Amino acid sequence: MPQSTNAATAIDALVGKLATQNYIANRQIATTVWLAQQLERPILVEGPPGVGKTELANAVAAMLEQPLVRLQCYEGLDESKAIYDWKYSKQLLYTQVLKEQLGDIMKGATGLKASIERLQEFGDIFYSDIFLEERPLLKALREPAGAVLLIDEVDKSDYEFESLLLETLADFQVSIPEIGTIRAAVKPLIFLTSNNTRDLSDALKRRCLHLYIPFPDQKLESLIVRTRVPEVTAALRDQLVRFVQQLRQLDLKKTPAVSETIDWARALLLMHAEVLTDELVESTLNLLLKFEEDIENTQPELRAMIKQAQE
Amino acid sequence: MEQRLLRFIDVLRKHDVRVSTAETLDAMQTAAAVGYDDRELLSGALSSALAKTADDKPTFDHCFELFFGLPDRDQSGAKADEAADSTADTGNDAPPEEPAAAPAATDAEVAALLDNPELEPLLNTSEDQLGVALEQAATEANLDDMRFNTQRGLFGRRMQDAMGMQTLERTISALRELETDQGDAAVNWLQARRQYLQSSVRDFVDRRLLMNANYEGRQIREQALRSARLSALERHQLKDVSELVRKLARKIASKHRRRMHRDKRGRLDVGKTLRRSLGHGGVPFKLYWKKVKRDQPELYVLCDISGSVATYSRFLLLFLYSLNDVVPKIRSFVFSNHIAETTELFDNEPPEKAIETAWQKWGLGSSDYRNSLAGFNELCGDRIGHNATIIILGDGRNNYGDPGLEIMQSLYHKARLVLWFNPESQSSWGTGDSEIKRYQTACHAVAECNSLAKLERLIDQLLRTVH
Repeated sequence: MPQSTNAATAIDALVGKLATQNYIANRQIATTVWLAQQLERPILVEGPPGVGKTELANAVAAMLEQPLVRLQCYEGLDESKAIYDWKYSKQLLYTQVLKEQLGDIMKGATGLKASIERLQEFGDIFYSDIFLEERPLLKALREPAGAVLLIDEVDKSDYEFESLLLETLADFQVSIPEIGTIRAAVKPLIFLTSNNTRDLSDALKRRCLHLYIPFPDQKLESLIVRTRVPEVTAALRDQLVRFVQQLRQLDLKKTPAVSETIDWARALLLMHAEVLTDELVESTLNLLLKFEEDIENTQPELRAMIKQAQE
Repeated sequence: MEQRLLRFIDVLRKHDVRVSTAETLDAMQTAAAVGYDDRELLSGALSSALAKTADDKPTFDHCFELFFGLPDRDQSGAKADEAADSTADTGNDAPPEEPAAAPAATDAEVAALLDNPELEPLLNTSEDQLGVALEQAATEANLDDMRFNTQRGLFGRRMQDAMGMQTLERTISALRELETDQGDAAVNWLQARRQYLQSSVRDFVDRRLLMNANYEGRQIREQALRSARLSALERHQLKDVSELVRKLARKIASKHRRRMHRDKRGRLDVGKTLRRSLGHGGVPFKLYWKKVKRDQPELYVLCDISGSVATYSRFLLLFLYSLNDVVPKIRSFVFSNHIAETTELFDNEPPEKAIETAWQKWGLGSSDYRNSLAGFNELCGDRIGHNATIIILGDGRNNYGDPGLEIMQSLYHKARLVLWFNPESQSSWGTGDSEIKRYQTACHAVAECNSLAKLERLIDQLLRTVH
């Protein structure tokens, strides 16, 4: 019994701490974050765009007071942009310098064999830390006080990049052929986000905890708006959230996300709105619906929806 | 409890949630971290460790409900209180509540009878322990062999035997013979207990039947759907087939994905780097990379959507568009008496909806292959080159019109691969108005394709040649 109570208290505390970072988390989110910390596992966050997947990583980083290292994925992303690269130009310059210094180093060595021995003694810095260009993954691993690593939109990367990530996700290390394996000093908390444009590999999923963030329900969304745009009056907030919730029920090309609700609330605030009116909604609908067709398609039902929201 | 968790994972697997061994270990750690007492917490925690796609989440919730679906803690707590207030009345049909704790037995004889080690697991009131006992009994009774509704009684009996219910019966009759007040109290209590246990067993058996039977049934259904002739499908089966198609597509996709991507950037172009460095006195400021040039294969799909072939076209298109991350760029066309491009339609809409729209818009009329082929040639004849693979799905029945063979031949010479999928069985090729034998001369391959199993095999082969 005490075990569950402990876990439950810790999770409730986490909800509270996230709330101080202006992130309203439901219990499922907090449970997963807590588990990730306990089991030292990365979290794969999925959900429709704009429900606060990236924001979660931001909030957790702020909560833990650790730096957020972000890696934005895109097609063609490879290890030289994600893990490490060599400072080629500097390396080449180094060889130039070396050429000039070579005389000094080789002074006194006669014969090929002696020269080679002399070269052996000379440290190999061509492939060493000095010329290593850190990219996000490596940077996060080497952060002395730990970090939160956000691998954003991992579904946009290529399939083989996923395999590159596996080592980091499973063992918190990267291997650089010329240097060796670099382990994390402090294991970072890793978030991966995906918009599900393609299926991620099983290997990747296996190594992560999975968190699905759906659109929030009315209560939660109202709470989010209150935290983000506290200046909005309670009446208007309820109405606008109810309106957005109704919009989501329709068949739309792009369903309005939480971020759009917040934008809309801000806009309404700027217009000194106290309550929703037909004209107000019609003139600001383009903040919620980003496609002309969506706006057209909702026109017939708009009045009824506003009316329902006002009740 | 670990055994219980393993069984739960087994159930998840039967419901098509893929759980690996590593994830099983994760689940154990997870459960150890959150404990088993808080059901909601456990469900949330296990869900993040075991259900790894959005689709799996509802399945997970459903399984969790079935498996750990004991009454709410609050509710059972309240009931237990009630039971403590008034002695449980055991006569009615309502689900019996868990009886209160054992009455204090000061009588030496009663205490001796109750103090039976075999009886102990049956009298233990903790829900978890009961769960463990039920699991054990299920294993002994081979409960997983249960397939049908009618077997419930039999397996329930076996479960009860395995749990040692007979010991309970014996104790009750022994207590009755004592004919003392305390003995009667103990009998009452044991009877309530027995009813509670029996109902627990019944619930357990019912749940297990639900879990297993669904799975078995589904497997058989899927097998049947896979080999069924697609044209024979009923309307209500379409949804099942669509799901199956998507499942098959996922399978093929993961098989072929690996080979698709190769080095895009290539290696350092030493020659070029050195040449360009001359301008800076031999210092190579800028690096040049060898570019790997790869021709993107192109896939043209032409689907006959007239009459009976329409069903097949539907599934071919659904299949191909479910494969969108491994199949190279597809341009799709539908035709009956003239051709229409549907590429844009499929890009913008989910496959099912796009198919419906295409059908309504262009599905009327009888086949005219010549006209359709000519239309296709006009639309993209110039673009057909050595990267192009053309798939035509149709029965080749041209209503005795001109088959337009010379157009097919010109396509055949230009394209890398021309395939014809024919839903008719081979024996009827060339009969009546079927021109398929003539088209055969202008195709690299003509294949019979009238079930999902065949379609799956064809697409698998196709992907192997295209990449």
